[in-house]
Amino acid sequence: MTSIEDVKRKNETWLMALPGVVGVGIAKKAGTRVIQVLVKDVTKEVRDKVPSMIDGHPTDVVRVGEIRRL
Amino acid sequence: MDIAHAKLVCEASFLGVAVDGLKANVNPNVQGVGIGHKVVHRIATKERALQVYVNRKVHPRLLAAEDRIPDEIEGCPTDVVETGTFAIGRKFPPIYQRRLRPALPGVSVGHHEVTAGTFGALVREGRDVYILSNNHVLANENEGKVGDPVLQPGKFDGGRPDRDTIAQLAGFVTLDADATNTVDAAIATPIVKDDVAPEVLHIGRPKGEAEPEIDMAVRKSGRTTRLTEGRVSATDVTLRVMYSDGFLVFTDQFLVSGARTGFSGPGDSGSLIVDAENRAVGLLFAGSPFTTVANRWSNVAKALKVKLVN
Repeated sequence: MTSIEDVKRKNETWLMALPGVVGVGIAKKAGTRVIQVLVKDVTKEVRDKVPSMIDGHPTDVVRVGEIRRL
Repeated sequence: MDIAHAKLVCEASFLGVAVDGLKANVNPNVQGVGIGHKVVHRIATKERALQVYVNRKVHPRLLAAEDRIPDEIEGCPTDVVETGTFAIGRKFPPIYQRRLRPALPGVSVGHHEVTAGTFGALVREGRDVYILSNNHVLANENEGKVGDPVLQPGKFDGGRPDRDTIAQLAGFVTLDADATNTVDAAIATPIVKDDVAPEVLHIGRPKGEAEPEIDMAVRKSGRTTRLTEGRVSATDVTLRVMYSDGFLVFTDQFLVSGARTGFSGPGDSGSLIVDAENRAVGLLFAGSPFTTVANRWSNVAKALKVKLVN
């Protein structure tokens, strides 16, 4: 299986092109590493377009709002 | 002992209030007097004490004998309480937002045309020592010129170029709108070497470096939300961040979630993020009400060719 880092890197361009997606990273959920998709708001559209698994790695959609310089 | 009488003596001898049979005198540092519980080692005791409110608390040895507040007045113990100057609707700002010399990492700093950010760390390249923060704090998002004044506190906190210039912009990593970025970082040269020190306010001296890992416990000391604790929630993050002229894309970032309240707020930009052993992990630069974003420390050190002062 391709490493989660490689899968994330290969898929981040199209993921970030989805409306409402702010970023993509790697996080942990219940002890498992996941591809975290950062969104401004969790919408049905985003939920429908982000697959639950990408190349064998689970995804997790997380609301982060709008990220600004502080 | 009669604490009410002792308070009258205070009012006469510090505030210049006319009281029959007492000599009126004014201590310019005293802002007011009151009665409260005597505080010992930060804990209120049952004993009552005279509270003497002062603009700034100064060690008694640094004061002229006539300016010192006695430990006891008319047999009543005193407590000196720093309140700042009382004014209508205006709070005395915390140390993080005040002028401080030597300035410590954690306090307000900023390019003279920027509101305010945070002095992150004292770094060096060879023998040259620099104040490190973000490009958008010290270099005004690429608009700053080498030599521009950097204020402590920053402009938003009342810093003025004629009085509060602590350093001059020395260099920055250009923020690129047409490519990906890994750091938002800049350095400034202190004008007077002894006006800066390396101990991060309420954290201490950073020691060594570490890479961020998911679930790592971290802390930061910053201008707005001060000392906060959190955990690394994501690594390898690529994301878009809103700047004055639009979005910039950053790669190789990490996210931090606050342990109790938020980890950061506007003005905390430039704060150094350290792990439980005070090792430098990242440079805080962006966020939202939900999360905080930081550059990896190793990328910052590499891009500016600097090391922590130790």
